[in-house]
Amino acid sequence: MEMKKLVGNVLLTVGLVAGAITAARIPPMWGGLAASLAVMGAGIFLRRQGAKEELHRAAQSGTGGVRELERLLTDALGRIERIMDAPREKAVEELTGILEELDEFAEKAQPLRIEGLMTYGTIMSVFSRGERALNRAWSAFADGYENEGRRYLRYSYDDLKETLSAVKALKV
Amino acid sequence: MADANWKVGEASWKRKDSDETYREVTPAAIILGVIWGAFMAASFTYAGMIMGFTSGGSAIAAIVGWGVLRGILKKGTVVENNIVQTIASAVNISVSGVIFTIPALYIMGLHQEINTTYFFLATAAGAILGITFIIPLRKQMIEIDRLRFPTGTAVATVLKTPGSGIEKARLLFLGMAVSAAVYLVQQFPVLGLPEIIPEYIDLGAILHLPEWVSLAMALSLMVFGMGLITGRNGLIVLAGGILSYYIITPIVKTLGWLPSDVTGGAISGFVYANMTRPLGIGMLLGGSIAGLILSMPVIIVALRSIANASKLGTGRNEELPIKYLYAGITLAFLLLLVTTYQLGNLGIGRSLLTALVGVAWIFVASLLVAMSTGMTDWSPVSGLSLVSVMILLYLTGKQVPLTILLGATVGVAISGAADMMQDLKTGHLVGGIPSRQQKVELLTAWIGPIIALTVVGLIWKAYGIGNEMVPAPQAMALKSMVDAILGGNVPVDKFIAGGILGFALSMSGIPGLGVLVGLSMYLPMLYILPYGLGCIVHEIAKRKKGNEFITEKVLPVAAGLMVGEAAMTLLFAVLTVMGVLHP
Repeated sequence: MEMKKLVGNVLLTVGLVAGAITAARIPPMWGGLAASLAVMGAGIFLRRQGAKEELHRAAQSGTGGVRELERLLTDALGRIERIMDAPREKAVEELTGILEELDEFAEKAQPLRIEGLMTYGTIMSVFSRGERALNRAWSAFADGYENEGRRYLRYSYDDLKETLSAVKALKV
Repeated sequence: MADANWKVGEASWKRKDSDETYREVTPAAIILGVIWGAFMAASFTYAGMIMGFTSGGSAIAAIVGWGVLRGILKKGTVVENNIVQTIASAVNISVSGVIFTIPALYIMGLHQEINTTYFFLATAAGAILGITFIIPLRKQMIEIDRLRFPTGTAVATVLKTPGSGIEKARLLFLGMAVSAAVYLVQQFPVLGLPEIIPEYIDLGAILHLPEWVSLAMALSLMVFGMGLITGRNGLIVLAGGILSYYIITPIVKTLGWLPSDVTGGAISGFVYANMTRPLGIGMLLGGSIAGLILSMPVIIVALRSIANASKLGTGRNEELPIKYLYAGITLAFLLLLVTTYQLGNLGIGRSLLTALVGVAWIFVASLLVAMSTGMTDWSPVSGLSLVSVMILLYLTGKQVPLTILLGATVGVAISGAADMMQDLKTGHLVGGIPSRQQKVELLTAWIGPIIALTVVGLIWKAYGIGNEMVPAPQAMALKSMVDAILGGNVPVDKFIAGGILGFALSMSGIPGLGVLVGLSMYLPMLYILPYGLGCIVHEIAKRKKGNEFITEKVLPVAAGLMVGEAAMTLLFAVLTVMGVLHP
């Protein structure tokens, strides 16, 4: 763990423990609580700085940034294309795999928060719509409703493509 | 036209109608959901007033749904069954909001001061508000923040089991069987049989620790299963529990901050009741308010996305239009205003203020329970009720009947909000359409309070309430709260101190940290330990075997552990209602 974040975490924990103890007394020790909050404040500042730097590094190295997200989405889109006309059983099996892989998208999308919560929220909102469409396609195929399955497979394809475009646009 | 061919273990089921409209909101689903929900609501109302707890029942409803839709009607789909469990749990969930509050009025002999119509108006307002406030929170918590909602995840596993392959079905049934069997054996003393497995073990006594060290652990596979699904967030709850019970308690004792008559085993209970629990409640509130402020940009995105949903082509508008939110808030506000004005003699100005603050408080409380259940599955309803009663007593000029009635509104709203979020998480995982789930919930949630209120009235006439036969422990607790507040015995300073700490923690950059630590101080260690153990096993399994192992193996077992014990709880509730058991 990066040093700044580590020191921040330690200060945050120390401040919390001291703050909780001083606040637990009947009545609370307000002076002790204020001092503890100051320590927590320093910890929060360092922690946030460290976390931000860590996220920047992840974004640049591709371990959780735009490139990794592009790879996940492109792979999923390719796999969806291949099952557009596949038999129902094959579609269910493949969808299970795609959904498991896309489960990592949200975790790996965390660096997008650097771009601002609005950007992160917009991308996750479109992605999640596509993910839910994939889930519905899975259910419909598993239930034997092929038309519904293929319709939602198409919806999910469109939504994930839109997500990919939004992720690519972040590079500019 | 392709045949659908299901196989669950040895059983199989065939259907050949793939060209028809995908079954989702059907008369069968609605009728079954209402009937099963009403059955659970009546059972849990009575049993809850005797045993002191209730259950959501989503998972059991999902299993019953499969039994009826597939087993008897020979049709039914994953999303149709999602509608069944959504309705059933919506009808059932308001029970906890009612039985925690309304029986207190009977115990205090104040129930005749309120016309029956107002009972229904106030609780219906709660049911509507709880659901409508969830409209923007669904996008934020499920789609953007991706909270886990362990019960919702477990129910999705149950719904998807028939199509997930035999291996997953076997793991689910194995978990269910083990959990149900363990619970059954634990209940032997209630059945007049010798105790074989206790409900909890006192590790502190086994390790010869001082008696003030609270190290007892509930042997609940359901709670362990909740932890297994939760994972990392639950580790923060465990850490907070360790801080509360094994750091603060010894330090407070060493520093001599305890009254001299509190000694031995009473120390842990005193610190919990008078120090850490009120601090935890304050932290929960402070943490959730900070969360609300920090999430404002995401909530704006969520609202914008809902507003833009109608622009999606091909008739694919799957969001409940935002006008439902406004209409729901307005309707519930008017219901609260009428109730307060008619019952309180407060004048129009103060009635308006009470209704406004009531609606705003329900939003904050709904946000809090949704966050708590989303991150951990725990819902701090009793702590929130304490704060609700405190606020409402002040607003209503210490009018106890009106306060308790409005407390029921809040209770129904927040328990409904938490349940709706769990069901919407399930819906997301199976591909249900959220607007359909929300509409059926809006159409049916008001039924639950009517059933619960009717059963409470019948019990009052038959046996009385607050006696040996119907102890109504939750209502008795509320009565104690009201007495304490009227006597000026409220730890407001602890709430404020905790609120400041919780607010600061949530600014740390770790989402929901204030809420998680607050929850850990609020929950008894008895349940934190098995829950934390489940979280540890989840994390170890994830690191050693990867995410796929969690999805393929751990999740079905954990869902089974939760469902098995929940099913037995319902069975024992029904046996109690039938008079077979006398707990």
